[in-house]
Amino acid sequence: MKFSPRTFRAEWDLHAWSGVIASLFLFVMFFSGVFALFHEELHAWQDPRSRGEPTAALAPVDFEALFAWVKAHGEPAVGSHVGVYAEADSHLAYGWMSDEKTGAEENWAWNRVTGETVPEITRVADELYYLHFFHRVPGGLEFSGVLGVLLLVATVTGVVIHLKDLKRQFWQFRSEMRARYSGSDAHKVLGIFGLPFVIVLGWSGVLLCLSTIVGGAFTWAAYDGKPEKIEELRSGGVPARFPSGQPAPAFSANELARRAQRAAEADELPVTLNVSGFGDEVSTVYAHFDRHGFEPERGVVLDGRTGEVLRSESKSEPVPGAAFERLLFDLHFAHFGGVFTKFVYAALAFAFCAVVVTGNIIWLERRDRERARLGNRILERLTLGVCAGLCVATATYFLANRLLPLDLNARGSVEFGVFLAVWAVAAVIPFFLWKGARQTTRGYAWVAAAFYLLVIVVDFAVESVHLGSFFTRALSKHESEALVFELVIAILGLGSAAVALAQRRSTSPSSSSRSLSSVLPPASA
Amino acid sequence: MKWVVSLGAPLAAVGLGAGIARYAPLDGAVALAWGQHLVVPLWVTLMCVLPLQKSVARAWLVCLGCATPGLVGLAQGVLG
Repeated sequence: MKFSPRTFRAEWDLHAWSGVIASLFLFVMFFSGVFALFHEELHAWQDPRSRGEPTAALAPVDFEALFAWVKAHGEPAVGSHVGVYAEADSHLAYGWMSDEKTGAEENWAWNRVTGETVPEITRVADELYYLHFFHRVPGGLEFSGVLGVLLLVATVTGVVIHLKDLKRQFWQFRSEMRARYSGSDAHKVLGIFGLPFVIVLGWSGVLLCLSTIVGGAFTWAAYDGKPEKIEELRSGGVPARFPSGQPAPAFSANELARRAQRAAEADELPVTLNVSGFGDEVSTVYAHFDRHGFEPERGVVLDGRTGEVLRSESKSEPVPGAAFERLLFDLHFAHFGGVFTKFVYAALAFAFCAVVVTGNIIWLERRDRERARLGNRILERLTLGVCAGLCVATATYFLANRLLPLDLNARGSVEFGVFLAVWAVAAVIPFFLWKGARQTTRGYAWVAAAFYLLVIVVDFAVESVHLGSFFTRALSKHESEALVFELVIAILGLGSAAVALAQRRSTSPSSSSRSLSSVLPPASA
Repeated sequence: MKWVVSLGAPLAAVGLGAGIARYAPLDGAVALAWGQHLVVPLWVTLMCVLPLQKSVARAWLVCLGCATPGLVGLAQGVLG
């Protein structure tokens, strides 16, 4: 199919502009998305204190005790949200509380056997997960949604402008040619291979990020400003329940868990009990079970005061749209196929990171090969500093996780501070010490490779005392997950080394070796 | 053209989606599901199609046409 020159030009411009505007943010989203994907594994890896404990003799989860531990940290306000999470084969249990009125938010971890609070020593898994949708930045979630739309626009327009020669572009990779052509080939081949992945991730990501805003608009434009109507339609007819402000005694948490198990016809107890309207006369409990890929949701909604089952997903009529949403979200979170799928997703995510970087290379090489314009010189250095800098900063984050003393005050924040500081420094270095794109990339890639591989060396040195037992007994789920993440780090290290080696064979950079003085306007200007 | 693409497209997509949720002759929950899940494809389609319009005014008219069901619904809701 061939379009008119005007249509082609309009779609080409849209592709280029939407891509270049979103490029660096999308790189961050997809790179950190790998760690969001391996969140469970990273969670198991980040805290060595939880390894090596036998799990066979663990008692069934006592939800009553979990809520008592929440109250031991301070009685939550009537009407607040309180939740607890515990897996049958883990020593750790988690609790959280949020109060919309005061904005207070807290969360805790406990040792399920001793009941002792486990002090937080690290937040690596959570911070990298939050980075995936810029959670730490005000409005970051909504911003991520808009980036998702730009990603979809760049993808659709990319397909449109290459429809005429899609078959040829699918296989063509001229690695021996200069950046404009080799980068362009890599951009198209990886882009086409990753097309279904990007569309599914983009669409589901936008739904996840913008559901609050779109829901708010729908409330006014379609439901006369009554949010309870949407809630009722989405919950399959269960009337919306809002806390009344009147305190009332809560129903037994253990009995709630058992009723939820019966209602869901599940073999095991729920892993989460989430209470909306805690200690209130109108209190609603949402019980969630462990899910495996494409299994139907087995959530149960109960009355927190009387224990009455209000709705069970497995017995009620499916809510329209829920099956489609579940499919999209299962695909987004890789809730199927186990660890193998996660590695496939990770490969596709790294391929997309390459699509982003090569997209910017094409922009620079086609529009301003000599980097005569200030904007393009800044784009080149930012692309390198932000993208390669993130790889180095993440490696440093893991290294800090292993090297900082366990009893360090506010250790989790110090680690995160190290990560942000290294990333910031790495992002600005290309503005001061510019030795051409390839040489600078090679430097960053070698540092990242060295740091990732050093993490593994430190890990095995620190954990050498456990190594013997690793080979003589079955690993717990927690330990297996930690080892899987060790493999992720090894892949990152080897991948970074491969990038560094790939830069060696290339010829001198197309752009000149300009330093800061050439990036910033002259002082007299 | 950049304003109509960046602002007109999302407003039109949400307006049309809300219009479907409100006026589509379907069961309430089904209409909501269609309306909500069409917002993203509509938004992306409009962003790709609006630059092809012959003029900015015409592009805004396309947006207005799409957003009309949502705007009517909003007016109905506000005016009771």
